[in-house]
Amino acid sequence: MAQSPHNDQRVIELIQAGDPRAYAVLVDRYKDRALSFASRLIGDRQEAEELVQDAFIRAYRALDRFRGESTFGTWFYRILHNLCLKRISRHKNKPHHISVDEEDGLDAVLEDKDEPSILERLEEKELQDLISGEIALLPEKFRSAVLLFYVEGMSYEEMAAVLEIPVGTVKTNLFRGRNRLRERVLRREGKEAKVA
Amino acid sequence: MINQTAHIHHDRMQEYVDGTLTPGEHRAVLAHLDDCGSCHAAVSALSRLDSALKHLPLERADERLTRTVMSRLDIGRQSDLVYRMISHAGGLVAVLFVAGIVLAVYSFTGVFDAQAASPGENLIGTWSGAVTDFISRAAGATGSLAGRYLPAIPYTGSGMVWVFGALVLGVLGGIDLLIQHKSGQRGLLPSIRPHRTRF
Repeated sequence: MAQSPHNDQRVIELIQAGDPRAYAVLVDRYKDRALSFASRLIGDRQEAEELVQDAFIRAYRALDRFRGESTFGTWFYRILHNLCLKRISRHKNKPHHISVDEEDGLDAVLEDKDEPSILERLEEKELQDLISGEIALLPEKFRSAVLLFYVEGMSYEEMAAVLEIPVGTVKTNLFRGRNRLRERVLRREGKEAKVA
Repeated sequence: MINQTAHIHHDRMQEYVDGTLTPGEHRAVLAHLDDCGSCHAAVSALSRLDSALKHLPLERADERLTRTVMSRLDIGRQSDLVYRMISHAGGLVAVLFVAGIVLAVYSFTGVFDAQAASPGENLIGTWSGAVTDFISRAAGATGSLAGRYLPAIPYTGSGMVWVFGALVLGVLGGIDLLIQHKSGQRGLLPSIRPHRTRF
């Protein structure tokens, strides 16, 4: 993760020693990344901001039980992820996510390797917009893995701690999520070609 | 080992992009990419996807988010002497507000009528009488006004004081609720539940 766990631990020690104002340092440090994660995971920025607030509140109130067995970051993201999952389960009929059962051709190789693909042709900003849209359509477990790995820059072990699943499953979910993403981006290219 | 004639499988390409191949596997892939334009293009495309994912723009949280979280936790203001005093005063106002309503209701039933009261109630009656002396002028003005518009209520001397007190405290409570509603922050009275804030 981008944040220094040692710095976080120092801040937590300050809080536990009786300086609760130090918590603002942790909130400032994590709020942008936490919002990016929650917002992309649930697909609603306003609700994501509320969930991030709630996660910080819960983390603070449970801080006396934080024993430093994991970093504050992974511990905090576990709280945030669980809140996001509850929100997703409450609204599970609303977002149009593609179910895992719809998986097809995960092992497919790039079909026409001689043509420059959409991944090579698009400008950076266009590609990011396209990818952001496609991430929102991934099943939750793939989406969580892709976001924690790429947006949060977490290692497999940190992701396993946040998602509370084995490292092997983390790798599988990330691999499948990334494959799905690539296939959908390339499929978009096919649709664009047909329209043209 | 990479077959120099066959194309590289996508899984292996992804491992190459991730940098998780062993040095030997890495060298073999590199050698194949030198000779195979289509695999080279495919790896470039994967690298591009990888790079775009790593550089997805961050959402910027509202700058008030930290303040809101700290406020919801009541941190920062707890050590502020003025806030503590106001907070305690707020608690006192809340108690007085409830007491004012209760006593006003009792006064309407005539419990504080000096002639009808029992000895125990007389103690309260005596105390309320002292308060009556203190604010009787203000209560009298309120009473005459209320009596004009609400003549059905039996406005006795001490009862009127409690009606006046309840009115004043009710107004303070209302102002406090308004502060909480408008600012999304704590008002003078302790909040029943912390506020979530949408920016």
